[in-house]
Amino acid sequence: MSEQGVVRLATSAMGCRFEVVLAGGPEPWLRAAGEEALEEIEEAHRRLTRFERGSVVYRVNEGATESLDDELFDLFALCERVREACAGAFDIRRSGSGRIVLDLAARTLAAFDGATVDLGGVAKGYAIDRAATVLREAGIASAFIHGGSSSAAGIGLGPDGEPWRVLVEHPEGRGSVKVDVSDRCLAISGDQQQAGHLLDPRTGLPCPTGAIAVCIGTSAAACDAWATALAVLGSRPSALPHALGSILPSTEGWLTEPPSLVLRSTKPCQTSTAVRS
Amino acid sequence: MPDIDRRSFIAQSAGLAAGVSILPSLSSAMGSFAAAVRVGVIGCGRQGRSIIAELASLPDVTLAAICDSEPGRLSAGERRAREAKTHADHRQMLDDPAIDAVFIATPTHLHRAVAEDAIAAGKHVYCEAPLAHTVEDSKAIAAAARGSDRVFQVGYLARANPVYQLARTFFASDAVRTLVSMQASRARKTTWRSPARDPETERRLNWRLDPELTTGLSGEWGSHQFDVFHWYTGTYPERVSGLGSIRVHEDGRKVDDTIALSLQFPSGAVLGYDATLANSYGGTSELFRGENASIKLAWSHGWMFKEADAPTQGWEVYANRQQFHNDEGITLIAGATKLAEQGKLKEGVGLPHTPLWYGVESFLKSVAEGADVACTAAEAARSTIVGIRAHEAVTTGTTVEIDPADLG
Repeated sequence: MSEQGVVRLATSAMGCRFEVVLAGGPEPWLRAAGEEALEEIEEAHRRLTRFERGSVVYRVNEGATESLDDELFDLFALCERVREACAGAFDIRRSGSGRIVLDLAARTLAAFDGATVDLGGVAKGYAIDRAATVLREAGIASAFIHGGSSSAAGIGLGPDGEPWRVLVEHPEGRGSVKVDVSDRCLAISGDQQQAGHLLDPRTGLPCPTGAIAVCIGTSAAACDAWATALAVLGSRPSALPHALGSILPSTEGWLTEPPSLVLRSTKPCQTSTAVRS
Repeated sequence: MPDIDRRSFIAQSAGLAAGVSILPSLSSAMGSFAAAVRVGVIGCGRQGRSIIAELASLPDVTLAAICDSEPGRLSAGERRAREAKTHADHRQMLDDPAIDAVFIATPTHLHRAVAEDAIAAGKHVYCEAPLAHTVEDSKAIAAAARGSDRVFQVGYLARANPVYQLARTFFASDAVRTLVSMQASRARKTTWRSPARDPETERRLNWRLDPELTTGLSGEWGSHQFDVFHWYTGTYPERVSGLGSIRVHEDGRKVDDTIALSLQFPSGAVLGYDATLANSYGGTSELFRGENASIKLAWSHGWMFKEADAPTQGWEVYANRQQFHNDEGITLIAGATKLAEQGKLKEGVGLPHTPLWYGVESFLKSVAEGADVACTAAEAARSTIVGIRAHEAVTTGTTVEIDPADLG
């Protein structure tokens, strides 16, 4: 904690570092609220990881039929809505095969025919949504949360009275954009360094190097899912809800819709990261 | 194009075309009860919400109502259980004759009033641990539970945990032999505070840091772990000495963020305990050192470390092992023989559910089928009282005698 009146907390979850920055109140209160937010993130990790026994996803992948609480049911329903809308460019089935059954009446989830669930494309956003809800309910009016620098949410304005901003860089060094995320969420999907990181669930093949996309909206989970779909598709589909903003790389730089998303263009930088500026 | 029709992933939420529901049989033997149970959850803080989530994963149980006097907490509970009725006062929930059982996850010092009301209303009760913040309240709850013909289970979760149940059979066998000493610890980096903006909310939410109401790390954390040693050895400490200090959280609090305890058992064996809110290394664990082997437990995992001169047992041939620096631990796996036959021993490491799930599941089994209660109020009162005496030892920096009469 270096800045006056600003509290920074972090935890490890979902294979990355989550960080919460809080301002605008007495430190013990900010710290307590931030810890509650991190606990939400840690709980989301425990329930959604496919690597640890004891998680909902692990049990489903082992063949169990899992009853879901309303929060988790909504998450899986969201995943299915996005999968349908983008014609399979986003899919929580690993390698897009097998069947997953989400039963509305019984509120259960089960996997069949070799299907395995992987929420890697949406879990960070879900965790951030839950953390942001906890912060808002605690009365926090100024906060920024990010997971692995690829999913983020802002609450209110930063401690300097300016909006929380995230810097997004072009994969081929054609400039970067700063996005206002005050009371908004943002997700970046794709990988510019390493081909094969992002798979196209429709074909099971790796997306080309430089496939990257940003989605901006009011739900980090929806942004996460849609950013993944956008990176796979490489362009904004007509099915993308109008309320969601998109940023996609083009040969000229960034293609942003709506254009008002970009606060100002900045010079290309060496590193690619989501930062508060 | 992918073959979307191949599967029937159905999500009939608003705005989405209805899919065709082709469902296999959804019944599952595990967590299925002889009779459906309708339950309520009182207290929607973190623990209450965790209980709500575990309840959702169990069939044959309906979460009919949730309750919290704090509106923010109640709405957080509602997010997980939209169908449940909401109450600000637990007595309204208890008036509902359709509710069979309640989970009490309020602050510890409120357990007695709520538990007595629930018992008077004829409900089965699952009460979070520790049972109470005073010796008097612990005894009162145990007495009320004794006088009730309903199930009363307390959330000391080791007793319902398959790894701990299995390890206990090893502890009771020649595998460990004479108990030499015991150690336990818990470490988590947290302020232990809930965000509260005014003094009134502060008093209600931050009872853990209220010197009048808290039993500190000894009671709120320690008693869960002391209970393991009570359960395994069948004995209780005769005296406890303790020390504590505020190492990191200098925010005006009076309650220590780091403690060290020494609990002396009748056999002469000593349990060393330490806990901190200022560092997270090692998490939560308990260790039994025996003449022939040591057993280490860490909630979802358990290991046995054998002495070189201890006799080898037949099953050790196929045991799964894990290296810890210079020691090799045999992983304690529930149902290991069967898994070994299927060549799936490694997959049995760790618990398939959270420790809380087993607590909730065992309670519902007791309610629906009359199964033995995993942790009775009488047992829990003993561990709670040991925790209270340990807290006294820490706050006074002295050795406190534990009166066997208090432990019934």
